[in-house]
Amino acid sequence: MKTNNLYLPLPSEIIEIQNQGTNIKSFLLKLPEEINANNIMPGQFFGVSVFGQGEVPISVSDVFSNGNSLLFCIANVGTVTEKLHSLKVGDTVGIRGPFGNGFPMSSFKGANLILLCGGIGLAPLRAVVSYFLNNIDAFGKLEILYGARSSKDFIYKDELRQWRLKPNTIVKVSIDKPEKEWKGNVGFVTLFLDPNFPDRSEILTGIDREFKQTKLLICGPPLMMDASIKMIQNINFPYENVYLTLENRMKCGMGKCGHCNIGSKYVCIDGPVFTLDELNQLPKEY
Amino acid sequence: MIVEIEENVKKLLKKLFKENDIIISYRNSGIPEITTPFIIRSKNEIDYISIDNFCVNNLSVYLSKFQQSEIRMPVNKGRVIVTAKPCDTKSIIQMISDEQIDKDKLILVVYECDGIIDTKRLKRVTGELRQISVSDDEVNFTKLSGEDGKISLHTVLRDKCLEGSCDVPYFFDYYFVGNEKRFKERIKKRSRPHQLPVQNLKNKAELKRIVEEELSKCIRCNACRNICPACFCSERCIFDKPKLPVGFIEKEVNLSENLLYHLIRFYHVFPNCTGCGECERVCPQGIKLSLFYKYINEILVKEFGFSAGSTDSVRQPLLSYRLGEDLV
Amino acid sequence: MEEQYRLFKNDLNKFLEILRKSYPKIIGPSLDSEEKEIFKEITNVNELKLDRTIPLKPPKEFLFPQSEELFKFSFKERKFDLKDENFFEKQVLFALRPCDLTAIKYTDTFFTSNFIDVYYSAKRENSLIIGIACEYPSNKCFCTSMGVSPVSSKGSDIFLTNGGTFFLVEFLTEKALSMREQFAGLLKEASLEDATLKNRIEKRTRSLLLEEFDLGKVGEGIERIYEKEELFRKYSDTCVMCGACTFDCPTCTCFDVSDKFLDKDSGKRYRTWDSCSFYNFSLHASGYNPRSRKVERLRQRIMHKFNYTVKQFNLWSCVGCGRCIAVCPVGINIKSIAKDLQREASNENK
Repeated sequence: MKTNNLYLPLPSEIIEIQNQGTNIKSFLLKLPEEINANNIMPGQFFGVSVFGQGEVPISVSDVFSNGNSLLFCIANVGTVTEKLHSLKVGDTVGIRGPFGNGFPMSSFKGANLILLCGGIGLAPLRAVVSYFLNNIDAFGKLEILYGARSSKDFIYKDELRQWRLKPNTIVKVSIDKPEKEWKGNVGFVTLFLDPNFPDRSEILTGIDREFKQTKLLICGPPLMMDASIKMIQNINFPYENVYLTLENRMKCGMGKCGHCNIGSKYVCIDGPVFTLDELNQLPKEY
Repeated sequence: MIVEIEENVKKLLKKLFKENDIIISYRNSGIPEITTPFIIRSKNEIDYISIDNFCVNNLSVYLSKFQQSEIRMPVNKGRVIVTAKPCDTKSIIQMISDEQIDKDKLILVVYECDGIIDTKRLKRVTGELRQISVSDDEVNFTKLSGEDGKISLHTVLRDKCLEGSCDVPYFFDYYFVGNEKRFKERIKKRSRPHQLPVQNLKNKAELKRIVEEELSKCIRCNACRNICPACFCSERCIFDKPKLPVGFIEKEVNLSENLLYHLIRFYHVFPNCTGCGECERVCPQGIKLSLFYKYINEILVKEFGFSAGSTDSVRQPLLSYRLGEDLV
Repeated sequence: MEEQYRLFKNDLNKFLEILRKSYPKIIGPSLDSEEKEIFKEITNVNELKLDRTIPLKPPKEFLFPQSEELFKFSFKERKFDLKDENFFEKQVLFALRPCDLTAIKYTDTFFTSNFIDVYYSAKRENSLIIGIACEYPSNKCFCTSMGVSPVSSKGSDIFLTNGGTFFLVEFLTEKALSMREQFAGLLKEASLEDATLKNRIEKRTRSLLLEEFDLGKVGEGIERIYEKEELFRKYSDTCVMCGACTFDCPTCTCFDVSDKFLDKDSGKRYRTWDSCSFYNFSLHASGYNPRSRKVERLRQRIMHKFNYTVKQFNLWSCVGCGRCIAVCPVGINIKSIAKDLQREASNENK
């Protein structure tokens, strides 16, 4: 074809596979030469193809520009991901992208960042953490508020331990229901925003009590997002500083197949990152 | 349609309707020759009902597809009142026989239908219409151009109506609106011999050719499946399962996949098929689907004496057996 | 750029012959064996039927087929190879009415905005669009209510208007003008009175339409009535979610992408038409479905046609062709829905 065919994936070899939790694996894929690592922003996604099965949209977890590789965290939930989980290091998959708008990281400079994540929702936000740690002087504090259904459902456990030790970085975790060996917080992750919660966000109780200099980034299942939005309304956190990244059924990444159409927006083009302001103007179909 | 029928149906419904009830009937759509199904949840909407010679839909489809219809007989507190044509009652009886609907919550109002017009046949004679009305055997119409015209009703009725296949269920409790004696006389007059759809197809090669020719037109829109009262898997349908292994049923549209789709549907449906003909009517491509279903139905009648929808207490021959019976 | 000529109907055959030299495939309105109107390849001018209502199946299948291969893949050792070798024949879409022309203008905008869909573009570049003024509406047509005039030539390369014994021919685009010389022998001078031909036809066709209504307010007020489910419920209760309306709609462009194996080591990726009426359309991998109820899906379809695309491209994506009304198994009338919404929107303003 004469023009650049954006439906064609580029080959990418699997460099490393790690188990991350029940039915979740992280894949380190080789970045094809045609894609420039500097063009990839946290929050964007790629279409990962297992030929013969199909393609799935997966958000970028991390970009390693010196190794020229991309990290994806993928759960086994369907036919394509099932096949993906059976692949070995050295196998080739196809990737297409990057698609989507990503977090506007440059506009966050000078602010504190709170990352509110649920379950596998930490995957896209990890890229934000990497960006922060690479540009630590440009931001205020970073606080990672991470909740999962049970202690087995946390991903990136090693990285979480390392992040705890980094400057300007706070990590708080919670599980939904009490467990025998668990001595940490118990409760739904949105409680970290609640003024009555004992282990409430340090940024919100301490350095930015008036919510003037903080951006809140949220990623998790729809129920968690609904609960977070309610909490944000209760504490009067400014909507334009709340960023959510939406999941959706996406097949083309280019606003053509129509599956991710919500209102007059396409999650693959105008999103997947939306501010709460923008989301409130869309019909509640996410 | 006989003038009093609509008025009397409305009167009866107003008497029967109680809070939480749902009425399934018909109303005009805004297009002169299209009368559309109408689901009523409040008494004042009964006045909008329209019972005429264009009420072609088989309303029983709203009873079987629970999830899709969102009426959900088991969940709905009230009863479901259906104004059915005599031919549609066959589908309802078959559904009761298959235990798809709760007989106790259903109220059947059958009316004296004097025939449904085949709009394709009508259009060929009249062209595009601005207005149309039927009184007794006369159809008065006005074309879009303003020109008036008149034809007689029986020249544009559906084949089904001309064959007089209007059964009225005797063993089920129902209300009849109209004159039963007059109705039976009319059916007797309208018994044109029923044409066997594949009479001329003596050999299998010919049948195969026709099947392939028709099914290569299919665009897999699912209209036939969704309108079929006998196809009651609804949201659990195998073609909608998102996690089927690749290669089992493809979305691709070609003869091989279309054959698979229609044969699977056929095997699931044909014992329950009452020959309402909706599948063929709704197909955007005009595929002669009733060809396949009528063909098998004839065999079922000949070999087993079984006709779907005729009674609610006989088990389907292909789902039951008696000890000592020869294997089919 | 517009230049008008007369093409006498006796010369239509020769016109098509000349066209065929550059565009081997000519697709136009004809009849099938059951006397039903369809678009199909015309090999003989006698197959053309221009005096009927529009075919039920829209011409979008010639630019955006029901089933289309995107590329082939093959495995060797653990690596794979991809091939996109689609070949697009040059084609003429002949005698499209203004409703279908407007639909093509919409799909042109849609498939090239943000990212270019190469498959559609390649076919579109290889297509010559010849429009015709509409004289035979059905009682379901409402093009004028959607801002489309029955004699509008917008979106066509060449436009024909019926003048009795001749067609008035207009060459409108570069593509058309570059071909004009080839028809030199057949094109006769247009006469002065031909200037009023289109107006006369427009007047006559408008008088044939069953109804016309003003949709001006629907575009604006419709968001406020999004919440009023009862309005949409009236129609979604009887809708059986079959998708026939989306398949026969000239502006519906949603598709699904699937892979399949052709043999052990190779296969292809292809796309097929999909419909927002289907339950699976918005089903997430997690099992959550934001549009699980019928009323939500019907509302999405209506809002998309009358509001969302207006916001995105400043274009309605309904052209008033009435095909959805004609094909709907349960007779849902989109005109009634539009009028209901418009009434509600103007009530909201008071």
